[in-house]
Amino acid sequence: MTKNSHEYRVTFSEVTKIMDFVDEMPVISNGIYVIVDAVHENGMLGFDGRLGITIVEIIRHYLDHVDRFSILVFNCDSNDGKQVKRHYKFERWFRMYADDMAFEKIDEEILEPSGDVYVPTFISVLFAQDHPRRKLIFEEVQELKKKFIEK
Amino acid sequence: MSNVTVIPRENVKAIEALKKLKERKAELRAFLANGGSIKNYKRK
Repeated sequence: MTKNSHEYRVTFSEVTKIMDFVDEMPVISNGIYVIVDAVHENGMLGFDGRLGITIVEIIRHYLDHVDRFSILVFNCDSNDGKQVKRHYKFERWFRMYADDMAFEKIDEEILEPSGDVYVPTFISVLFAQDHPRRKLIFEEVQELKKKFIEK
Repeated sequence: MSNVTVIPRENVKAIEALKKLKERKAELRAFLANGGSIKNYKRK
């Protein structure tokens, strides 16, 4: 529940339930896909100073109490064309509220052809700086990028 | 700052993969919005 009484839900799901293109990746396929949803909107979803810190604290709690070595995957919604704003908001929240979390975040902007234009999709992967499979995570992200740029 | 990856128009597999990602996310959201639990959600 936020300052303006909007209610949000954060869902942690196996990443393979959403992204089947990571099925063959031994490390990232064990990741957790995070979805943030407004479930009860109390009027317009305008500026709410408590929202960012609340979401970051939920993620921090998950890492501290469920699995510190989770690989969390985020992907901004693009249905309404506001994915760029969402991505920068998400970035700002992490800079402001999570700089003590000792994590690494890989941010990928994927430009997808759609008619005459390219539409951005943002995917971020977050994991502990001392994650035992850190090197493999980077390698698998590179492997995925290669698959996306193939002709 | 994000790294940028451009999908070539010829890469139908990649375009399809992103389309599926959006569809699956929408399906899961609808499932949760209807009172479903993530523990019971199975990918179609």
